Amino acid sequence: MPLAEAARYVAAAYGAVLLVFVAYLAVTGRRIGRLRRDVRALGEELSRREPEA
Amino acid sequence: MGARQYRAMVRKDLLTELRTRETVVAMFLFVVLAMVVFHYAFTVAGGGPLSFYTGGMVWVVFVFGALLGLNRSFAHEKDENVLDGLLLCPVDRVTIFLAKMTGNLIFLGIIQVVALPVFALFFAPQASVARLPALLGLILLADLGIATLGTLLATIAMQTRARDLLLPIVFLPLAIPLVIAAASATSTLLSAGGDVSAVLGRLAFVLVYDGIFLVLAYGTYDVAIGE
Amino acid sequence: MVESAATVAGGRVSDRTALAPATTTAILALAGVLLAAALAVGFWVAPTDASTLGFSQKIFYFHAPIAETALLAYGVAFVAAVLYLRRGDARYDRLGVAAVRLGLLFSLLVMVTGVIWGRAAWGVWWAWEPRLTTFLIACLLYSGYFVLRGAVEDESRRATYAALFAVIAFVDVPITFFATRFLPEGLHPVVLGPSGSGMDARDLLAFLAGLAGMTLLFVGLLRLELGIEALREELRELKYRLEG
Repeated sequence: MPLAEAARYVAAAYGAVLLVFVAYLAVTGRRIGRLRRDVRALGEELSRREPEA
Repeated sequence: MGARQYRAMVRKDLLTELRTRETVVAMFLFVVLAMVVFHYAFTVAGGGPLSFYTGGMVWVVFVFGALLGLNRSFAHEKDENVLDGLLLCPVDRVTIFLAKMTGNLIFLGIIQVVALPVFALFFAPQASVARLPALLGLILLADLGIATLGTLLATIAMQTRARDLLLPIVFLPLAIPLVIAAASATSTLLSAGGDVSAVLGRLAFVLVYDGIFLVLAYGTYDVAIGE
Repeated sequence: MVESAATVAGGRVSDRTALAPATTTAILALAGVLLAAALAVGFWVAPTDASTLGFSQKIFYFHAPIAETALLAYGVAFVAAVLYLRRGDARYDRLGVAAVRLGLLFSLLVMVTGVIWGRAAWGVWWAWEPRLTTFLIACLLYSGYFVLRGAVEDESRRATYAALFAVIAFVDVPITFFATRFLPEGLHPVVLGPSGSGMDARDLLAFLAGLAGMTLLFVGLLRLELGIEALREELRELKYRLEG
């Protein structure tokens, strides 16, 4: 197989790996961000209610 | 004491089945129908011998037939809440496993006793009778593996919502190595020539595989059946 | 990345410090460095493969480490499952779920890189050769893990059955690992044979860097997953306190 063609396959393979991991990290990061925001919001709500208790 | 309970449970399962004969008849019909389908599905151009695929066909049929039987063996228990009653008795969980496994093994064996000669007749007319002992030994060992793995997983699957849908999903991937070994060995044994030493290797593999799952079942059945 | 709950809710909520984010970031960064190094060595230092594989052999520097890491992930799931069955701590269940999920992710990547490599090296997109086949089976098997979980409503029973399954399924891992060594398929090159590695030292270096990098990547991603679980726990607790 000529080098150029093989190189395309190699690039495709590494590209796929990179794509999958980057996508996974992005999705995970978004999940974490959303969760942290929710935790903070509920935490503030809780501390706001504490004085009333 | 354990042996008596074991025999009692096996007898109970067999009698229940003999009264209705549902499961065995269904498994048998399935096996024969599958053979007919295979005949037409695998028609080789030029009428060449199918013996190359015989082992595979045999074990596909046996494995899926076994799944039918496994699903049914616990469905009855679950529906009638027999399982809870059984668990209340002071029976060693491993005894329950062995009894259930034996029941499944016997059902599978019954089907095979009838199906195998028919199969050989349809698809492997050139098989020599001299190889029969080896073939029977192989089938017995492979059945043991299927029954062990199947009973263990069926116990878990039956207690979930998905029931008979889940069992094939968890069972088949783990059964594949067993099927590969058994199928290739069966093909060799049913064909005219073939390398018999390779068959011994396959037999050894099946034996080891059986052992692993027997040990696993022994170790985990308490938890699997829900204490 | 994850703050201690105590600082957020004035000390009422239990101080559940999630996995230290700085460490996780460091681990992921180090993984990145190692993987980049693996590529650097593999592409600039190591020679082009002399066999029929040719340049396509370079896919190996990630393909093999990803495969080993996938199996490592399933191994972690196995250990977590055993620990859960013995101690009943729900944290082991969460560890198991995270490990299987990552194992599936890595297994998927093995298949993708393997298929591409196969097309480049043998001209076909699929071949029933040991590594592709055994990893396909592993993917199917461990997907069943999530199907099983989805079919059980009660939480503790779900964790128990999942743990049982993770233990049983682990039988497949040694088979997958040794498949390329024992099945004489011919197509797949055996990398680390009994007589030591048949590889050029520079290839070996790239491979080892890739292996270390992928392992660290797995550990980092695992910590992320566990951090998410810890956050979810916190959220549940906060909700409970707000309603109760």
